[in-house]
Amino acid sequence: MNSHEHFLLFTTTKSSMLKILIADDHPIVRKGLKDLLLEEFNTAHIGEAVDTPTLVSKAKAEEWHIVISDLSMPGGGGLEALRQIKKEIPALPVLILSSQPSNPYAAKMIQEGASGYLNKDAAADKLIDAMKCILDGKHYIPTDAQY
Amino acid sequence: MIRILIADDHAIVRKGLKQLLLEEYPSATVEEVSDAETLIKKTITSEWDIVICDLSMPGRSGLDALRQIKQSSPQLPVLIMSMHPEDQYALRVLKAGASAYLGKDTIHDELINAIHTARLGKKYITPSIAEKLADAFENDTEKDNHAALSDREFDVFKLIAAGKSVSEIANQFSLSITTVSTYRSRILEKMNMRSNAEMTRYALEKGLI
Repeated sequence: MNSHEHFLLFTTTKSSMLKILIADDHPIVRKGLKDLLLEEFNTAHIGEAVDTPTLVSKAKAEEWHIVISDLSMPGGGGLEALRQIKKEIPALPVLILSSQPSNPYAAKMIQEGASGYLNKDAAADKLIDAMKCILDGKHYIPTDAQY
Repeated sequence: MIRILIADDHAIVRKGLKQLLLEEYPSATVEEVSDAETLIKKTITSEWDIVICDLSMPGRSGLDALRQIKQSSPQLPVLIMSMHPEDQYALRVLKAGASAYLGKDTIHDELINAIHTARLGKKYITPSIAEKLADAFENDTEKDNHAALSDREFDVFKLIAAGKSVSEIANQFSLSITTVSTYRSRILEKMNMRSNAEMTRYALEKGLI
């Protein structure tokens, strides 16, 4: 199942709740992210992980529609988590959030299998657009990314 | 009703902070700004009970804003939060008049206690900062090189170490290029260094950038 089929599963099964797994080592950032997501997807179930191993094990333990992960986390970081998730659950879309500017990280993340990349500065405005784009089976690429 | 002003360039962090504050103070007025310049203006034009400010923001830093606020509103408590490890900046920030220095990884658990303490006019000191303070008294001779820099020199040092040019720094602080060049010479002398590359290496080793 690719990520588009993943999304169709979500949209066609109205009873199935949108399940989002977020990973960031800072509780305050998780709180902000969760609040932002619940404003748009108010019935969503949001799981949380504080480091790379927890993210990978939670991603494997349940079914999720999307993962939103910080790039810098204890236990390996977002890139390591992305690689492990893409190896074991290739259809699960991963959106990477980072404090680093988009260029050149965005291209690297997309090459590694991420469905999108967002700088945390832009995340509050663009997160929901990015989520919708990814859940629609597309990639979300920042306009300032270079290839 | 408590009036709280928060400053952070990351909207997600501001959102998380606001949520946390409103859980504890449901009737609070919480306003947000995303840069130091707006923060300083807001503290002058309106009355606040407490300011919560990020240390690293684009343009003028939180440390710069803190110094300015302490000049214009010395009684206004300012809590500084940062992604950096506590020991690198805490003492400098507390010395500049902050009521607390909180790492973003612990702020979730400590913010409310810090606000209570700060509103009593006291400083909120975390156990790891207390330890650092004790060390500073004991090992005064083992100071880091950068401890000798003034706050402004320290700001300039970090920007040079991060690769900013003298003209970019001059522009950011509204200073002349000559003044920034003078700061650079003074920093090199105080830190016993000869090049920008040495500054960068030092700053990376100490986790300052």
